[in-house]
Amino acid sequence: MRGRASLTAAMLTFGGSLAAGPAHACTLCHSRIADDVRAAVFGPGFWNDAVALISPVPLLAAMVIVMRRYLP
Amino acid sequence: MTGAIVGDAGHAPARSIRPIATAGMTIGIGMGGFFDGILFHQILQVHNMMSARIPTDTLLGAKVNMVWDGLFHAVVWFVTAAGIALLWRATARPDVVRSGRTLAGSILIGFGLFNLVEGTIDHHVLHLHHVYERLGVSAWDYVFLASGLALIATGWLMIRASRSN
Repeated sequence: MRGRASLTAAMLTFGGSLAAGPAHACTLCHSRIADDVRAAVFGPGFWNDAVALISPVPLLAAMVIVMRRYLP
Repeated sequence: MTGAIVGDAGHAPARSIRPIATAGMTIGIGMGGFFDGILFHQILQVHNMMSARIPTDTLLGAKVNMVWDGLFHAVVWFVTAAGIALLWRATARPDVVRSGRTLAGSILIGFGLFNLVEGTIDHHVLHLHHVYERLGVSAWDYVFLASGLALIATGWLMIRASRSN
């Protein structure tokens, strides 16, 4: 019973922290600017941008393998 | 044999620097990413991850770039963690030379690889951002690539010196 009350209090605290003003933009907030941020990040271009973000990783891995092969 | 010290035939096992160097290069790539993200994206704010595509001169643009900076930092966090795991495995092997100079040199090589590869792909090919965003592609982007080559050369020389000792 005490545990449930603690959990409820914690959830209320967390939920209260997300109830931000319209200019606040914490990624999970319910505010106008936060909605706009989520729409911009997770819009139709999300996967293109995500692939672009990680595109250096395979080349870096290949470079490490090559460098490892030819170490002095 | 490159990258390995061969012992007397039939007596000592061949000793290698490759596992330590692989771990060091992986850690160096991760730390290079953190250096870029912390110094250029956050402290100096001369560019952000998507600043060539999404201008940062509005609250919305700055916040969207902040999310992409966070995703970038998440990627380099996993790369660094992988490097630490590789280092842990390498140090447990009896046939691996535990050389601090080799580790430091390979970290510099990794740092240089990050600047060279990320600079080429993100700054010059995909145009996600540039070193000094207000100028677009500028001399600073070539300085960034040159710093990568210099770091690789320095790391390479450090490893070579550690092998000759």
